[in-house]
Amino acid sequence: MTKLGMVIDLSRCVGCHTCANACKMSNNVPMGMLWNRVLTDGDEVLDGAQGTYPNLTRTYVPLACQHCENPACQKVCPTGATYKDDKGRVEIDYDKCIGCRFCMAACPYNARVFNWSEPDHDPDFQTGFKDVPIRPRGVMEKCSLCKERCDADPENEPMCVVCCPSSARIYGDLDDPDSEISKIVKQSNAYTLLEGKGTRPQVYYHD
Amino acid sequence: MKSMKKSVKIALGVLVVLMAIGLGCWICQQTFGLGITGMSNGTSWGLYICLFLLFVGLSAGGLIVASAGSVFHIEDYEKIALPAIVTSLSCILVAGALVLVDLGGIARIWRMLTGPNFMSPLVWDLCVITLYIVMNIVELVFLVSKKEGAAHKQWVASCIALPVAILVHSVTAWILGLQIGRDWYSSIMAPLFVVSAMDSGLGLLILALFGLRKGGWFKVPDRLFSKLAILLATVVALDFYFVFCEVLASAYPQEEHVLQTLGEMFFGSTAPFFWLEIILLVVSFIMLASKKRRQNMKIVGWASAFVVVSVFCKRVWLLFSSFIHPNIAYGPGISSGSLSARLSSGDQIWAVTSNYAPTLPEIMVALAVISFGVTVFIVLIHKLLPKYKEAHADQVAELAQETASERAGK
Amino acid sequence: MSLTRRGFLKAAGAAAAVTTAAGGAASYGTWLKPSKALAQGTGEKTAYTFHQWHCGGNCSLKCTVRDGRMVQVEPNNWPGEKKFNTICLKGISEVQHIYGDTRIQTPLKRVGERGSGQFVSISWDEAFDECAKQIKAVQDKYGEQAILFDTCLEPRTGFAFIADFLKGQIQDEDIEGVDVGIGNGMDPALGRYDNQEMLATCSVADWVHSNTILMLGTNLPESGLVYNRWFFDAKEAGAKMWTIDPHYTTAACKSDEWMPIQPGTDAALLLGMISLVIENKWYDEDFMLNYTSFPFLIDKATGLLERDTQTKDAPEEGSGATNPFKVWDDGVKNYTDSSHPQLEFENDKYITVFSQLKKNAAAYTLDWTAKKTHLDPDKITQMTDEFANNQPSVLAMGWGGPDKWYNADVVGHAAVTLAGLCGITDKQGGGLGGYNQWQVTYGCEFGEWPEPDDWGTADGTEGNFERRDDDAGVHGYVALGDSLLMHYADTNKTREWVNMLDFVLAVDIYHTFTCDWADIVLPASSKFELNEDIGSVKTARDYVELQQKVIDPLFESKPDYEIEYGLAKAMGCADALPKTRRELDEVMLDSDDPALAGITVDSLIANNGLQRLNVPEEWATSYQDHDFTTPSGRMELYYDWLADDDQQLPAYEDPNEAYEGNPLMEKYPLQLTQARSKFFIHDQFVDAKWIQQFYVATLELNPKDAEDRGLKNDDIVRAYNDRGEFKCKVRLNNAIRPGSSRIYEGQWAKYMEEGPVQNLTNDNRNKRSIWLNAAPVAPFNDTLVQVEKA
Repeated sequence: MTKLGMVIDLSRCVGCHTCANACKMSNNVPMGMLWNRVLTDGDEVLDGAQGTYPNLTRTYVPLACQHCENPACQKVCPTGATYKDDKGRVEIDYDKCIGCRFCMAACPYNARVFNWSEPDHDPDFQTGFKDVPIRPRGVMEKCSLCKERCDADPENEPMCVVCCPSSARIYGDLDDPDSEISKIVKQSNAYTLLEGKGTRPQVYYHD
Repeated sequence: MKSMKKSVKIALGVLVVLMAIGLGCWICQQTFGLGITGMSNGTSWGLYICLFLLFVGLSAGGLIVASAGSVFHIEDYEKIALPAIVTSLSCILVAGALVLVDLGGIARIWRMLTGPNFMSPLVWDLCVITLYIVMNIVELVFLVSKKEGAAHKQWVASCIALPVAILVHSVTAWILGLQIGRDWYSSIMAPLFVVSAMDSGLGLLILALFGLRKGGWFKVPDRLFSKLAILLATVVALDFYFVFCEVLASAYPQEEHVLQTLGEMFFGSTAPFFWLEIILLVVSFIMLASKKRRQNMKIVGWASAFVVVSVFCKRVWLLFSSFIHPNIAYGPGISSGSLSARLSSGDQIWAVTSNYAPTLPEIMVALAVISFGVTVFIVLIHKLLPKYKEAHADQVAELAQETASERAGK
Repeated sequence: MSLTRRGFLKAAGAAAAVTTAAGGAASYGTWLKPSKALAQGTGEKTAYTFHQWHCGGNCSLKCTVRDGRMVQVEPNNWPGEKKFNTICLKGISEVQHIYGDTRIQTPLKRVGERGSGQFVSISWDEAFDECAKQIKAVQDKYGEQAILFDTCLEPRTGFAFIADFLKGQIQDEDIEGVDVGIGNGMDPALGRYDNQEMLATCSVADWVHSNTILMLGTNLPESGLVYNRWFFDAKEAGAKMWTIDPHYTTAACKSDEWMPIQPGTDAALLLGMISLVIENKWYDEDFMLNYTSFPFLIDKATGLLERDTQTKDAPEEGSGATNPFKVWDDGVKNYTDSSHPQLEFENDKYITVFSQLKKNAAAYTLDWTAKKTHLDPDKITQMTDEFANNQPSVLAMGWGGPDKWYNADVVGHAAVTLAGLCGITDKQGGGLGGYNQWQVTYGCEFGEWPEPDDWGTADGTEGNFERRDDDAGVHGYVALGDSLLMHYADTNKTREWVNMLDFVLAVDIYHTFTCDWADIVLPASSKFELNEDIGSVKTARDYVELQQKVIDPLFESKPDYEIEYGLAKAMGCADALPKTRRELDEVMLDSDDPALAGITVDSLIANNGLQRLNVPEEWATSYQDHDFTTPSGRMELYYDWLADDDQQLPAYEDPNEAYEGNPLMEKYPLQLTQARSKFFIHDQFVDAKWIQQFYVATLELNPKDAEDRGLKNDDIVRAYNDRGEFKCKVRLNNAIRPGSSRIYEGQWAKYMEEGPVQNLTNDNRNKRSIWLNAAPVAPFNDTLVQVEKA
């Protein structure tokens, strides 16, 4: 079985948002939304810090679809538009999405974004990888682990992984014990977010 | 329609106007997207779903009373079966329509039929609501039929309809209650919804019966109202109990995120709705608790209205409180896609907490759907009541007589 | 334009971002693809170019073009070093940015008042002619030096000749006073007399060998994103990292220790560290005796170093051979003739540099240092101990913080003195300076295009650095980039001055602040746009990078070289220039330097725009062999030329404005920093929509300071002092030091309620620093403000 996932080194993440923009570019994500966001842990402002000056800490947490093994979104999608593919990724078939937003209510990570209006693309043309479908208004979208890009060439990795200036992201097959990702997950005591929700994400984090 | 009273014609006129405006707004919504509503990536369900929850409850309540009456041969309840089922049918049609207007891609809804995901509570809801509507119609058909054996067939239908009615609201509850990702996750969500369906549905039914009596179309004696009021009072108490259990279970572990949500309910943006519900539940219970007050139709009427409002409040805080604080709420938050975010630009697209208020087009669409329900109610009553009176002349006459003697006795 | 594009409620105000070209046909106009159509794969091609260089990035980019539009940028492959395969959020934002509504679309001619932003479109021919005419007029009337040519760093790869054929004065970093503060004090000790802006003595690649890394006023993991792989490798290899910064920056949160220092007191910290090193004998005697001027004798009567001929003049490399320094070795001896010089010595006539330093250090006790800097004395001691004794050690400094203060040179001087005491520069993994530029390279000698003899920049008025006064004799201003915003404090002064000039020309890609003050504005193309198949060639980190054409010039912009050539043609001197950029590149690559052997335009094209020079594989280092280019060939810590200011050895002086005890603080209690960030490169990308998702002009305050002023997030505030004011929204951030405030530099007034920030920045410059080529630094951060709700 293939189980594609990612592990993110939070000690390396500097919160630069390069991954957010890389994803936006590669997947032609409209303005006003991002598939991948970089959050500042423990504070409500971007680049804030936890604590009172000068006793401060800060961790940046990049957050996108966790490609859960037990996805809450897939359970509730009435048309099966959200599905788990044969490589272990959670994907959306835009043609089947009826825009009920049940998946959005179910996702504990707020990983999904909805096209409430006509998608506002700036620039005004399709950016990124040519085979990424253009989503119409009224459908849901989210991180696809750059499905089209990665399926086109096995050497390809998701754009966020390629562009991260800190090399904080590792991508690979969690079911392959010899893969770099499997080794790192094991060695670094990597964890998943919101473990209590039982979704078993395939995106891991370590410090 | 010639036989309609002038006041009814005027009412219908207003309803048609409301429906027309709402339809126009819905067309805008189809053209420009759900972006014209107040919903966002944070609060992704709004007025439509909130009212959907309310109207499913309003419908199930009426039907439970009517069907229970049939199944268990409770005469008094059997006598009000027609108005009860008409109310139920009108409400469930409203509920169904509200889900449809909420969809971002209604053109693809056929996908639910070609590839339904049976794990999804929405698919369950589709099935069970469809069945429920069918059962409503079947019961109505048999109720107005003068044919031999219609009554028995109606009884059979009731035996099916009763559990379906309970199931309808349970399934609707499970849309929220099974989601581990939100603070709705609770095992008593289904019983809570069923109970609030009963008290709100009953409350609406009482108000509908008052309306029909006032207009002279269907006479129901005070005694029957008082009897319904006992049932209402009991269910109100149960409702309060369930809410209390739910809040206690949420609050006790003092889990940080749940406390944030509770904070909104007690002191924050959904607090007005929470406290109004509690107050109205208590007040209506007190109003209906004494026999003497139950015999005061004004009090019964107001109490019923209060219960409906209180359940509407419940739908509001129940649905919206859990949207306010994302589980992972670090700065700058979620890319909200909200109305205000869409009208601005740059770094205004973020929201750490999500707020919601319906927009005018959204309200007009909801009003249109509700108007549609009221219209269905008026039309069905107008069309079916005469037939029912023919088919159940004795029962109707009994009620009318009792009502008259009550009036004489005063 | 389709109503549905921006939704129901926005329809009224929605103007298409890219179709407001005045006369420019845009093929990338409002295309609304049908909802579900997949893009055609046809017409997809790849081209390689390099992106911004003066952020230290030098990213080489692989660009995808589809249907004539640039749709994707990603890191190119650097043969031999994958860690250079970089891009950042700014580079990616170009996919929207270059098509955005802030592009200058046609040449513009001013019709309103200067600064009003009222222009009409004119043709290129008209524009070139007008520029030539006006420049000639100024130069005929006032002389060639009356034209001031001011360029931001980024345009320099594209514009190779313009400064020389304009023949005016040049306001480059030698004069502008930006990024020179610390360097003014540090570089002379190493023998760098040509303004090297404290560039580091080794590179981040060496940090993997370091044990102790101090980051003083530098936020490398944020402002030097492309170096993060090296940074984190060093951390994982066990380097202990200290960040010294008033604010809790990214560097601070990635360091083992953060020293929350009082703004403007970095020199005090370094002087305190020097005292600790001396007191605890943590200095490297061997290094000091052999490779520094610490044993040299000072003539106590004059305060100058004892030589055959004492002098306060500018030092000359190697002059120690003919005019030797003296040491005490059983009597006064030439430093070259001494086998056992004494490090410490004093008599009535002489004292060694080290002994003098030791005397000075008595004033900078740990107590004094801790009080001045508001730092924990135990931490200061620990940090000094580790720096001195747990080497190899790095002292990394930056250009965005303490560099922009009145007495920044003392910081540099103290830093290099500390380095000299501890002997850090000759170990692999040891060094000091600004690491956010990889400048220690083997380098190469490009071939040169022969220029006419009479070309060349004019000298400015001797000793003048304040170009905005009569003394400078400037009557015309030619700007490449947003130099008026970035180079000058106190915009009132700038406005007054610009209004007095005869002619102002601005060349820029985007319509910045400087453009609004120009008479003629020329639209330049971005790095992705060329008419020729190739553009500029340059080196970075010992690789040669080639700019290839990605797309056609957008709107009516012209690539840099064509602007240069067009202007030269109008001025009648184009014959001396190469006809095409390719011609120039071929000359550049046709060099005797073996480093360039085999590297040609064609080989670069064949190698996707990137080839390594023929140089050793190991990273270049400097000063490992103690090869300081000073008079003595040693690290010279004693600056004779500052004798009149009593700064021969670093002596602490309070900042000019933002210091504790300044009565001005009653009125204006908050210090203001214009910091660098991951989002921008100075003023660039402030207008990029994909960057604006994250930050739009925001002033940050500590929550306590904000609450004292009744402020909450997103309130509009007014920051002001006697010089001026600006208005923008405020953000409460725990990371900001109470008593201080922070805004990112380069904010366009367009995105503020009122701006720019330079309206109120400190303009006083420390004249002590005028010597040789580098002007005193403009102390933007040495500024006090008050903030209130607007």
